[in-house]
Amino acid sequence: MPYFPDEVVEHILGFVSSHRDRDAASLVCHVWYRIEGLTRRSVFISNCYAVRPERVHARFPCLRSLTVKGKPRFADFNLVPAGWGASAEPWVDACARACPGLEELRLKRMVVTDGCLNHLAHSFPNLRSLVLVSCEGFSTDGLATIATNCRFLKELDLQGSQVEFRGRHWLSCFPKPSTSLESLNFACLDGAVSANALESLVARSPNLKSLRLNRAVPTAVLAKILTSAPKLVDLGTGLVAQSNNAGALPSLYSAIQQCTSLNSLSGFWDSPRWITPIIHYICKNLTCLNLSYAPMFRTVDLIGTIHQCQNLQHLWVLDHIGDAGLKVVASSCLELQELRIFPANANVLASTGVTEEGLVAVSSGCRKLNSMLYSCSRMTNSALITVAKNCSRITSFRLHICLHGSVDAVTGQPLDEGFGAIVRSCKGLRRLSMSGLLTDSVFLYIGMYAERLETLSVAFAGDSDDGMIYVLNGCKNLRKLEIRNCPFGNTALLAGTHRYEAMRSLWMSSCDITLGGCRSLAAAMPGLNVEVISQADGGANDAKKVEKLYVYRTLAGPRDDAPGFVSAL
Amino acid sequence: MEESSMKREAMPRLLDLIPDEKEWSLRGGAPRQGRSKNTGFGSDEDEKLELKLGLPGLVQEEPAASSREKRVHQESPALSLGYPPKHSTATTGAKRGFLDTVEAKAQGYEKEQARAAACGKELAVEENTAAVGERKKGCCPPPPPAHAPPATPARNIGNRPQARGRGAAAPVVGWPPIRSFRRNLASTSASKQPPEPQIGEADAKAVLDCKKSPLVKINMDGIPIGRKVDLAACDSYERLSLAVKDLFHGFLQVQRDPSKVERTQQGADEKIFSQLLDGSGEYTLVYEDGEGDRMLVGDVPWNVFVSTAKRLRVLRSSELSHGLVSGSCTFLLICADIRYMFRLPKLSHS
Repeated sequence: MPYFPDEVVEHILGFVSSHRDRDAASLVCHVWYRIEGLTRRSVFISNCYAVRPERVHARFPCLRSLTVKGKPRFADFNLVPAGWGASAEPWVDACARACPGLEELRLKRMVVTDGCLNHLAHSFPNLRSLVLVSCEGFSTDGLATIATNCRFLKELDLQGSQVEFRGRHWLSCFPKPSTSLESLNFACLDGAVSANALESLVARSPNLKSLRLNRAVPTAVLAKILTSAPKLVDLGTGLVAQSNNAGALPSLYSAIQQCTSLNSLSGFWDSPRWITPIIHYICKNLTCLNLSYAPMFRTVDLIGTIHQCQNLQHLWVLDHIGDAGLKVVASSCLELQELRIFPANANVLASTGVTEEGLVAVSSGCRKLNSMLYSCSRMTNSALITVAKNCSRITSFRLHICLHGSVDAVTGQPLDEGFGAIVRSCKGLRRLSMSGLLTDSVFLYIGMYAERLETLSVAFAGDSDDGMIYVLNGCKNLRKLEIRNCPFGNTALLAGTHRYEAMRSLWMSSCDITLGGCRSLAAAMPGLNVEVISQADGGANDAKKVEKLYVYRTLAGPRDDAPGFVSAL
Repeated sequence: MEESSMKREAMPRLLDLIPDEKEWSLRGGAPRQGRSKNTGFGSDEDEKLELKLGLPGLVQEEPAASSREKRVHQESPALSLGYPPKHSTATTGAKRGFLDTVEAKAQGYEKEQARAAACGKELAVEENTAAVGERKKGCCPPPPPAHAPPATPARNIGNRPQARGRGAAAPVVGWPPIRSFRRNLASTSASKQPPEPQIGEADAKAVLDCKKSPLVKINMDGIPIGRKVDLAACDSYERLSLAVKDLFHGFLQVQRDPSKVERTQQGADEKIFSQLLDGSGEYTLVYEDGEGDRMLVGDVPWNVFVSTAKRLRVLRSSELSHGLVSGSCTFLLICADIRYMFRLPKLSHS
């Protein structure tokens, strides 16, 4: 074998950026493993308990960007009790020791305290980007320390996080006389914001491209901001409404007309309906529109706006848009790639404005659709079959029918055939979330056809263990399986014994598994953490039903920070 | 075709999605009677995991009432699946058949849909809950799915577009899957203002119901505080004009001369308010309809006006003509209609 210099391999691997490609390269041989490890700049840890932070730094000493995900996804829906874990502290500690040159840190569903942010701020002087998605545990004081100490910060994104309000001063802590900020998102922040501080911050951030404000930012301030930052590309407004300042709205109108680069718009909150024409100024350039936080906008307003957005690629709206609105979307937004419809009303018995008609209309008009999240109150198999036929490029399909266990609204049948058609037709489907009345046959279809499926979310579905067995046997690429309220028992759980190590995680709640089954799984597979979450004290006998089970592969062994209600088997 | 059907016979466990009609007749089966087996979604009885499933639109106990039903019946043969292997040739043949059947089903579906919409929405919670409740009780044996919807004739199924499935609608933690951030938004906005009824044929009736006692806002030029007027309490435009006068004359008096409430002014006010409707007075009454357009009061019959007016405004007649001509940025009116002022395109295009 001729000598192949390491430097050449290193140079070549420098062009390989995708995680999966790099993972594959590292499996070629020991030399490549070592070189790849030395050269990887960006590491993605999909489960913070799967590996110890020290081990990550030992393998990837030159990393510059770290992404870590914590809690299971069902934590978003209050299924994971508070105090479960996923603290960012060990990760920040380890990183501070091993890699002080860290430039990017992205955390999702983790608990980040002010102390942790403080540690972060003082350990990583080069930090360029801090993204905290759906995190909690910190306050505006923590943000102040970040703003003060990370002088080169380009991106601060708090998407969906819960931040305790302790003052408005944090915005004034950003560096003076100018900042490097390119992206600032504090839309989720509750609490007031200092208008002067915000205006001054925007004025001294010449590179600002993306700004998402919280609802407390009034119209006048927004108008001033837009005037001083006309190059904005992505804007999340505050509450746009009539205020005491009579000149605010006209100046907002003239300011927004100057923002010719704006292509992404969100926010609005409780803005009144009549404000929708403001969007018309930038309709032509809009590629992303998120009106899902604006419950006051009605069908008519939405139709008038969306009709003009011919270049829209991403649309998030509430179900107020109605079938009528979706038909307009289908005829106007032919470039649409992602559509998300959220329910305006969390009540399961409420009827939504969208039905299967809207879904069918969108699928026939927007042929480039690849990602769909649809919340409705009724669905039919025919509609799903039509969607499958029209949009075979779909990679992510999530259908949430409000009332669990709803049947086909026209025929009264379960929705197996519809979802079966989806998995059959959409060869590239990677993510699927189902609802409605579903029997074991839908799982059979999934097992047979959904070869690329990586994430499957199931609720109130299935008749017997066979359902889960079909999926575990069939979907070779499955990574995350989330199950709730399905009649799957120990047989089903144990059928996947040898599958779980190839998957990221399994979540089962309100199913028919018992402690005995979980213990068997834990005994058979030492490479898995089998964790039972139980609030109630009860006997620890094997026949006891397990309320919540979380199984994941790990190199780190059982958790050492597990709270009392989490028992590792 | 023949080749694939031979293969099928050799391997009874092959995947065999809806074959197209040619293959169907080759098998010599009895397709016209409708071979919907619906023998069970579970596969416990068959250890080879062969599954036969009926397609939507096929419910055995339905009397073949209409010929349309029969057509859907015939063109949707039974589905038989074998679990693991599937062969590509059979798959492509089946795929074609599958997609062909989609067209037929779509047509059948459209007609069903029209019927369902015409019948309106009715909930049959009890029937379904009971039937499906039984079903849920046993994970095995497999439930008889053909009988899962209650044995109602086809027409009733059309009447239940929102037929409920498993279990009663007890509140469940984390369902529907909305993140808490969004859920909080939804609840706060719902408490602030009850959602207006949606535009839709089934909801048109609801819209009319809501209009039984409309309290619409009314603002007057020069007066910063608005009022609300009950359109149902007035039964004609003249009464409305009087009501408007009652609401605002106090403010006008206070504005003109806060120190005294003069009877002498009343005569002038009477004059103002009596000419609201004919455009000759100092003020004119306009209203905004559901589409947000501003219209002069008095053109349509009273009951039509009551059902379409969403808010009222008393404008100075001089400002009215100014507003029509210029597109200036000055705000004279409280809660102005921005679109109107800046001549932005109207909302409805199609």
